[in-house]
Amino acid sequence: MAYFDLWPGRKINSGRTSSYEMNETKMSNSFKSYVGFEDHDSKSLNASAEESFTELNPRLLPGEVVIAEAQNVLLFAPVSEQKQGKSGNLSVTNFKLSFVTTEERTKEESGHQLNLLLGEYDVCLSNIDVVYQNMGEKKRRLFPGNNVSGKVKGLHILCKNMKVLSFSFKFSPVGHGKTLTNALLHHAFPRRHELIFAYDYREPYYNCQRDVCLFKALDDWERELLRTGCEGWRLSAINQGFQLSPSLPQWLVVPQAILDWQLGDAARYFRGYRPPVWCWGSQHGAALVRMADLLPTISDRVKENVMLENVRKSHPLRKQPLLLDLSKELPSPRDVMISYNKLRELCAPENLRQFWLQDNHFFSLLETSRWLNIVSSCLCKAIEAAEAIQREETVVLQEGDGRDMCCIIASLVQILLDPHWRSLCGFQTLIQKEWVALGHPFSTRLAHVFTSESEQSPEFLIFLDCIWQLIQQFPAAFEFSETYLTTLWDSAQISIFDTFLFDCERDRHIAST
Amino acid sequence: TNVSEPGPPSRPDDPPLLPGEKVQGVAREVTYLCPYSGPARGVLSVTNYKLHFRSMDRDTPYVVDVPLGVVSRIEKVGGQSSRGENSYGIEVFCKDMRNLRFAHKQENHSRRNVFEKLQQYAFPLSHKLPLFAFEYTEIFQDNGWTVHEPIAELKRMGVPNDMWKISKINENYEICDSYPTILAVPAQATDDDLRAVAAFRSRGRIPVLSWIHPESQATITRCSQPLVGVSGKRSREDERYIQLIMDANAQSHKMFIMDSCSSANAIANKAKGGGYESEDAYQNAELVFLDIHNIHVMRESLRKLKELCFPNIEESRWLSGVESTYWLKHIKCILAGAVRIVDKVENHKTSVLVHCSDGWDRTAQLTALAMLMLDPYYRTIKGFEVLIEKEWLSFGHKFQQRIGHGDDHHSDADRSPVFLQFIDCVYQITTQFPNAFEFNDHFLITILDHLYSCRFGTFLFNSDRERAAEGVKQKTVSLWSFINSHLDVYRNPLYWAPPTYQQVLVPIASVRHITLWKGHYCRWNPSMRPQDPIYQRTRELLVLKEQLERQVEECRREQQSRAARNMATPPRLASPIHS
Repeated sequence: MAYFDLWPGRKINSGRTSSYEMNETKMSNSFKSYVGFEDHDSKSLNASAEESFTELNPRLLPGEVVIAEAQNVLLFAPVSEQKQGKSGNLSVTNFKLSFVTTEERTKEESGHQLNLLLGEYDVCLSNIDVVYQNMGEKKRRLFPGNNVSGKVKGLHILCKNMKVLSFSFKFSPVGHGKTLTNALLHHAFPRRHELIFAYDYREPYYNCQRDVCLFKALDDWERELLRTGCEGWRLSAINQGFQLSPSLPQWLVVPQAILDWQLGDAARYFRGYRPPVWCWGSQHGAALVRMADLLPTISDRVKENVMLENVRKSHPLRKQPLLLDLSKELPSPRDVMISYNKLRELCAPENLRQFWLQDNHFFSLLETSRWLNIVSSCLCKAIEAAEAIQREETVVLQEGDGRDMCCIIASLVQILLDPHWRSLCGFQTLIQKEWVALGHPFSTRLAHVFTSESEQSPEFLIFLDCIWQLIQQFPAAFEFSETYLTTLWDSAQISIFDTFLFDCERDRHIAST
Repeated sequence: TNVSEPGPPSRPDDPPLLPGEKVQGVAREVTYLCPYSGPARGVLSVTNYKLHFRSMDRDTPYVVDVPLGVVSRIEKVGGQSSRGENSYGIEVFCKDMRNLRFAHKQENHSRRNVFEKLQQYAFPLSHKLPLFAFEYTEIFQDNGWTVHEPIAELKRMGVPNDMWKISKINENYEICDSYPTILAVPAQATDDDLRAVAAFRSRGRIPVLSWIHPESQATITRCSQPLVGVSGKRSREDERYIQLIMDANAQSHKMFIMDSCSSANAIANKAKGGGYESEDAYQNAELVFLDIHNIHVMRESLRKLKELCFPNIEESRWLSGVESTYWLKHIKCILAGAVRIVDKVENHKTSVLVHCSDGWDRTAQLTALAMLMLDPYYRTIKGFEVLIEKEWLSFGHKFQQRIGHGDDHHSDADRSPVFLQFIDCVYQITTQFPNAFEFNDHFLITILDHLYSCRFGTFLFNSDRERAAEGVKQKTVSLWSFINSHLDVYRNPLYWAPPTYQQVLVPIASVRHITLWKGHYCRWNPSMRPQDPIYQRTRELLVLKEQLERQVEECRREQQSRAARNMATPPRLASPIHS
């Protein structure tokens, strides 16, 4: 812990966190992976940005429509005394909350990178987390589904990427504030996945995924097996059409010794039908394996032991694998969310007064958030696993559904042991493998769809923070910078890239066909 | 490239010796109790400069090498009756955030001799011995004593000019014995004025020029507290003199007096004959209190920090532990004070006068930091050396008292990490502006190491007067001679020299931006060290940078010569009509 710092991109919310270098613009009737956007042309977008800038109309993407608009709205500078603001028009579209002003950017603001999909003061609707109504000194939280009936003086909006927006409707025509607020409450919290903007986005498909491997095809897994030189494992087609497990990919790498029918039989005993699957291996044969817990209704561990025995046989020396129970040893998604809320309070202070109040106790407040503890314990666990693999032991990561901490630890272990993943392309491939293909529930964890029993939890941010810590300790080991990590997290809140939109490959597959 | 005088022939067991260094005592079969890697057995040597331990029981010898100047206290641990392994020996408490423990064998009586030698050479002044700097004879190419030429430095800032003159009134330290001989004062002030002002300022430390803005002529001046006392005494001359400083800046009809302590402390100072300027007496001057704590609070804060960082770090309560030392809060407060000065001078074109009680501790921190933020010259290696020579050494920061060189009164209430805090603040600014400084943090750490080491004369004694009387420049080597003779290891490869980079730096004085300087405070703990070979990369980057700069220069020259060749026959005579 003493070694760890807070990722400063998150230290203060300057309101300008969205520093993107994204050129990804095209989409298909199917969805577009976030990864691999580098060499795309963005001229058309920039041109349209300039044209619409003077008109106070939001710049719209293909398929985007304006739902409500409020004129003469004041936008306050983030973490300010909220006395002065920029004047402009605020609108809600089916994609974003957009503020357009004719006022010039300050010198400070113009030094920052811009997002090509969003204007300087825009946020994607799926990024919006909490909406408050300003009532003089106090503020009242507004819940999705509620309608505001009275006058709305102003809004205070907290985003999932810690951006804070504060608006005042003091100078707006009567009723504008209310209309806008109700539209926002309705559209920012869709109750069905099909209501997300990605389904309305109309852009021709543009394939620019050069070297990033998506781990969708047989080929992808075969190549990975070959690259790692891991013997004792084979490819199984048992999950074709997601018949075995909806949250696993269609191709699975399983112990050589096990037959498909045995695997199918065993899967029924595991949560989410997720028996042990291979995700990576070292040259000398030690493998990294992920699996779910047995169903709570199952009391004897025979099926699990049979599977583990097969894992053992896949080791060239028949070494006993090391089983790490991640749900016991690491924080749960709920713990992570609680910690994140505390951290956000610290990183996104409401105003300048709160900023300086917190400043007096910043370190103990940071400590109480436990965020760095979580980051540190994930790294420690990954080191433990990596050390076992270096001793040529196979490591089996086990956790509830095997889709949260398993993603974090499995990717960290590989980053620690295999330089392949530390390049830009390698890192994207790793995310594609451990998070996308092996079914991290992005939609649930990022709360893309509103439910009353939210299971929101920024597990992915914990992972990115761990990588940031590694970059601090090994500044020359990574091809990418912290800006890239920030961009990834911000992009996870943009409802266009299919990478971070779905709970599993099956959902992604269905949506695109 | 160092030319060294040949020393006495060395024996095989001897540690590596500096010119002028001699072995004074050796103990064999001593165990160094390393808090991180466990006990190591070997030979402990004491010289007139350092303590040197070399292990004999490990494949790669473990070496501990500590200049004795760093030692603040030495204690015997255990007696003849002590049982238990390693319970009998010596504990050495250091000024640089670490303690060392050695275990001796009772039977071979090696402890007594080593303990005595350590006492003598760690505290030479208490034993009527010279400080090592006076015995050190290494010769360097560069002469660091010429780095700061006061008149040249004033000239660099355009002084003398219409409003400011150079005064030699203190040539014999008559006005003030803790000031330098050369002072820059308002041009209008007569010698009689200066004498009268000196009578009204604590220890004669009159307001003098530290820095002048090249465009607006707004100034930073420094002094000690006025001798107001409980009765609220006034001095017409002092008031008029402050008015002269204000008038020397045509851009503003106002001036700020920044008192670095809290108003409560300033009021308390009245009881001791001091105090602060009342705004009634000093018209158009606005008094601001910066609320920086005194030397005793700072010493206590560092003590707590040492407890936290050495030897072992308690992981689970690390952050709240750092907070509870208040060290970073003090750093923030000092930085915030300097930022206020910069804001007044740069943005409001208003002159600022800075003082605390005596004007040699907090005042030096504030003026030096403000100057570092305002003037890119001080961010170069040479400029930073000038800044230390000028604001700290020549204006009489009491290094001898605050550090306690060669003195065994380890609990002396005059000791305080004032200069360390300044360097920490500099470190904080470098982290916020990584491209603005010519030097890297190894440079800062080297300065701190030799702040204590007593190898160089630079930080010895309390004032220019004392240093002149002791012949420091003639008899000792300057730290800057050493540093300037291998500049490459101190260079920051990411440095952007002005005018490419912004002139004025305004760091954010928030704890969110201030970090504990682990590379310094936690450096003895191997698990806290950076894992990357940063120094190696720094060197590689510097070589690369040099190569690229050379290429640019070549291209430029080639282009010029091509342009010259392509020009039509130039006119033989320059004519005013053509120009």
